[in-house]
Amino acid sequence: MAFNCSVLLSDIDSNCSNSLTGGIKKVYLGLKENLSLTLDTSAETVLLNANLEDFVTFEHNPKDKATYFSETKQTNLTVPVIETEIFVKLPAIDSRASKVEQMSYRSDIVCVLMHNNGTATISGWIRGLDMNYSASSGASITDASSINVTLKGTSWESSIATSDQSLIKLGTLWVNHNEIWSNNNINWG
Amino acid sequence: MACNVTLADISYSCDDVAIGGIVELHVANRTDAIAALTLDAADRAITAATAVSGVSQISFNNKDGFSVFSEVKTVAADGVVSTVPTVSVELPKMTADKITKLNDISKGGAELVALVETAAGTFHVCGLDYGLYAGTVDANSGTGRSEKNRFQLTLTGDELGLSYSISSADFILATT
Repeated sequence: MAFNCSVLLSDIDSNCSNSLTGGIKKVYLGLKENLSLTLDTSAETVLLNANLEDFVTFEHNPKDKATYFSETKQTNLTVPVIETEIFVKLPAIDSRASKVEQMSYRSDIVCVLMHNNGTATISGWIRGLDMNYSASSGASITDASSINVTLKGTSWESSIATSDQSLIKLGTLWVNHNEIWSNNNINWG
Repeated sequence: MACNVTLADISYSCDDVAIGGIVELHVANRTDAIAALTLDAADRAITAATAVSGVSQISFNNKDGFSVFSEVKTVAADGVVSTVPTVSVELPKMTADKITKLNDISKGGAELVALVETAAGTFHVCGLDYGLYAGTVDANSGTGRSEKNRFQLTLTGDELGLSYSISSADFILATT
């Protein structure tokens, strides 16, 4: 019997109406235990529904040209390793640095990102993400004071991406294109 | 490659008087504008409007030879599209009141929307995608009597496409 790993190839089309605009619009964090997903049974990583019951918002300047999402997959001797990195630049060092430091003890973080091109991604849904940060005062008035948060994770499954942001429910609110966002209190258990 | 674009005739009319300049500028926070305006993103048009909360008018001399609304849409061969709108207005005399207000409006992270009426009778709303910010506030006393004591405010940003069109009636509703 020939080798068969039951993965089928399918077309990936190109649509020039799709936006290539880069950047991240919104950053939401939560714990893996508070994330429930409904995936297509025939295509494992096609999202049908997601609910991050308890979440926090990390607000950044969407024009900071620093905040980004990145993911790479390397397959070596049939072992796939997917590394996800999310960088969020929080403006100005203040008491939030202490909060970030406390949060960075967790390693079961999931991150929902709303991208500028209308895509939403859910990262850390398999193994969670680790949080690290660096804070910099800058060296002069023209430098930015910032807290740079990095979320990293290694997994065998990629982040889930969907072009329909309304599939993602945060707390009791559906995220929609009208950008009515909830501001739930921090509850890190 | 599924890349058919919508093509349509663009007519020319001798009645389209292409007189330059802008005659009115209003600014608002983007969240307030989105709440008050009904957008048709595909046609880049506003189809209905109510009064935008907190909208403010920035008045200027319509004949100052400086104030302008412009936007440039750039399409790169690799598919990256960006549109940079710019609204510049000149505000005569560096008064205390203008110092306070212009200093308040020019903050990092601001997401503003500009509602512009041009002298040619067209109406535009820009900044609805990602918001504009006050890129520069340029104050100058002038060096002699023949020069101006003035502020020059420039709003700019980076948008998905050209500014949204809005009817004159909806423009009045939104800016009231």
